[in-house]
Amino acid sequence: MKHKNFIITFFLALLTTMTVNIIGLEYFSQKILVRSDNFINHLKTIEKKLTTTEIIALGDSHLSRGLNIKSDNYLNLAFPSDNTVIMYSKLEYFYKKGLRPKVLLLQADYHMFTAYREKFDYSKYLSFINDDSFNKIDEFYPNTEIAKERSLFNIPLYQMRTDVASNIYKVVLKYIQNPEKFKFRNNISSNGTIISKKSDWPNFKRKHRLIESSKRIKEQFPSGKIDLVNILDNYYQKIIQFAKQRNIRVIMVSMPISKEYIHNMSKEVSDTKKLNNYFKDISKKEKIEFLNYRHKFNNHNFYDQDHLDYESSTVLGNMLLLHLCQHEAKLIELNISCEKR
Amino acid sequence: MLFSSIIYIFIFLPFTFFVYFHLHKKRNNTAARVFLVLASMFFYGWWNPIYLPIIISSMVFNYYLGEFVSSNKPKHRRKLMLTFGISVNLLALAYFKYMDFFIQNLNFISNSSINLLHLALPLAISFFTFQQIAFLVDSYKSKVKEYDFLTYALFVSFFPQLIAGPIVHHKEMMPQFASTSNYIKRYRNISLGIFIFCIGLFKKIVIADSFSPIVSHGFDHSSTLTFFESWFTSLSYTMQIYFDFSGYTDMAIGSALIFNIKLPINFNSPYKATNIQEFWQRWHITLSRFLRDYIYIPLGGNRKGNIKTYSNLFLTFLIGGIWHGAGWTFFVWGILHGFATVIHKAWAVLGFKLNKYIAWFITFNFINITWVFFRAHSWEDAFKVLKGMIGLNGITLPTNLQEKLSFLSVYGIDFGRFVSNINSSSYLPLYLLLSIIFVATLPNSNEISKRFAPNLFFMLWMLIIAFTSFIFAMYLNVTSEFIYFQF
Repeated sequence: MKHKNFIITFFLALLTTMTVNIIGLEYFSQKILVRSDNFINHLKTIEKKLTTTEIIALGDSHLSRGLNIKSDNYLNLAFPSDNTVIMYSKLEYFYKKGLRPKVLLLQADYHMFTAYREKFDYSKYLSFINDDSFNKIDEFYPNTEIAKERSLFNIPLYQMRTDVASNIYKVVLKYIQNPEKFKFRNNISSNGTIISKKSDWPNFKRKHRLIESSKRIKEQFPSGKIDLVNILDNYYQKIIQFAKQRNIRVIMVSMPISKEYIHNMSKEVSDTKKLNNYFKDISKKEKIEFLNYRHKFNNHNFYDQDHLDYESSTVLGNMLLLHLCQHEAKLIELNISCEKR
Repeated sequence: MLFSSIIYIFIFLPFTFFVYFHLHKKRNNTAARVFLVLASMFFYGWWNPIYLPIIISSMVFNYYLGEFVSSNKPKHRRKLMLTFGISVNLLALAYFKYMDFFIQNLNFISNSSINLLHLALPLAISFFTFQQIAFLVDSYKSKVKEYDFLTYALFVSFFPQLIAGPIVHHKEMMPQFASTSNYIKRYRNISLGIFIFCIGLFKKIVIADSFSPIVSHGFDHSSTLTFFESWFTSLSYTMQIYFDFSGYTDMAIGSALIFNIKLPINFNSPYKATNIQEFWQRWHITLSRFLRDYIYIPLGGNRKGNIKTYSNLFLTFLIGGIWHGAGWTFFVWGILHGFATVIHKAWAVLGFKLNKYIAWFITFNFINITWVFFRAHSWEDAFKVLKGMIGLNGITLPTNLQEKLSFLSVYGIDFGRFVSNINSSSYLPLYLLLSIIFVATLPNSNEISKRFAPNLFFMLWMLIIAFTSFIFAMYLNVTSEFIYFQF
């Protein structure tokens, strides 16, 4: 083969391989992977139960993984990395689509206010967040620009640009090896709660739990303090006002965290009290009940330093359900089963 | 513009190639060379056009100074001008690269609070300064033939070697730019250039960039690294820096070859070295060559007895260390390599010999440990990693081994998340082992390219490495800058 032909053949072959690869992967992604995506399944679950739901929960991963109320009337709207703007937008969006809850369980924790959320890619949310609220995020979240750019590709290159991308070849390989036995990984329960897998956290020694917690805190609070961003505060209050104006009873819920995480928080983050007081003040000012479960669980209940495992999320769900039965059910005519669980 | 970026591979390189040879074909040779200089300036200015005046003025200054020092003027005047020229070059380098370091240390020593200048380092200043100092010295010694400014500008600015070397010598470059036989497209050079470029792309994107996040995580969590995590961090960096820099060099050599320009090789399997001297004959060869010819030999080399040879060697390595960056960690790195070279020299003088496998093991580990200083942001960070490497932060094994190896707990060995601090998969030890075997046994890209022929075997090979690089670039990781860009 002469060098000139060699070069031409090489480029033609490379171009063909690349094109086939892009088309093949995209087809595979759209037809197979999108179906197993947590976020897509989360949205589908919500839409399925939208009009029959009476109790909803809003928050981030702590609530999304940690509050599993076994009731047909419950819908967990929380999703990992949600902040208050996203939470408000979700509530407003789904209300417009027919959601009419009687109770809103609103997470009251530090994490929805932490700076590390700025790094989050919001492109997935563009499909349902209205422009008005999303534009406001821009003031504090420069990555929304990237999100907007990415949204242009959301349709043709959806899956390649999301978190599945890094595993796409592994998944393709598994599928090719045994397509019949290929199981879709759907981690969303029927009420929207994310099902955490088994983890080795309960087996850890205290020393390792402290190290893991410290690492997580450094990632979440890089400045060593909790910066309460105005816009996030405003949206938290907007959620409450939105609910109140529509006669939705709001209950603030502080989610469980491991003892090591709490220990390190008090050591490494300077103003945790400020935010604790912030929630207490809101609860007092708005006359909202505030349920604090922060210290209620032991290490063997956790998936990692700050998320409950799936079993314990059901235990917490039962605790909350019991509370609703005892204190709210008659008051707001909740259609829930209050038999002893 | 990164060699591994889409814009370079699919737009800049093909466009420059076609226009350059089209102009030559139309017999507009001067226009073609002007175009290549302009394209190189565009390539350089892509990062930050604000530094374009610096490189342009540096080229003009050194070219005309070179003409003066090689003229028939009296020797003392030429020498004075040479000293002036070298001083201006070094002062510019010192100002941009070392000023803040100097102020920091002055503040520390004198308890003062002089504000730092926070100057952004003009890209490639260390490289083009060295090349031009060599040109001035050789002009003074009348070792430089006469060339026009355009040829000189191409020698300094030719984009494949502009940013991070190889540090080319005017003797090997200017004749190539002046030779009319290089003005014609040569398909052999093009196919070989593309082949070498693909190898470099694979080294950078698939190997070096895969180790990059492990290294970053490791050095970011240096205070909590356990024994294995510390070793994996340092070994990952050892692999990252080699594949990153040699990948860059391969891409530079490949790009240049497409234009019929042969750049000198810069790496020759450095991790196969069985002593530190051999390592420096194989690692960043063009820097070693520069340091030998323009520092070590002018200092006296090995001509004035053993003690003087040792001090010359030590000083050369110290300068080499400081050249890499303004920081005490580079200083220490230079000192360690200087010491090791002196010890090796003394060892050879005494006539001792080591088994080659033991010699390789010691050399490789020495290089691995000294890279910790090279990579760490501070002295403290380097010591934290080294502390982990000698087991002072504890030893943690994976929890799934707990049942079988629980007796090790008596010796203080813990069981937990094995490599959580470096955010890596549990296959990392295997990847590292494969990489070490790869660099210590397999032929390097220079050796492979000598066997290159336009046949099906090489076609498949090129397709696989180019396609894999494409997959990694598109889906698996974010392309990062080349490590040597910071120097």
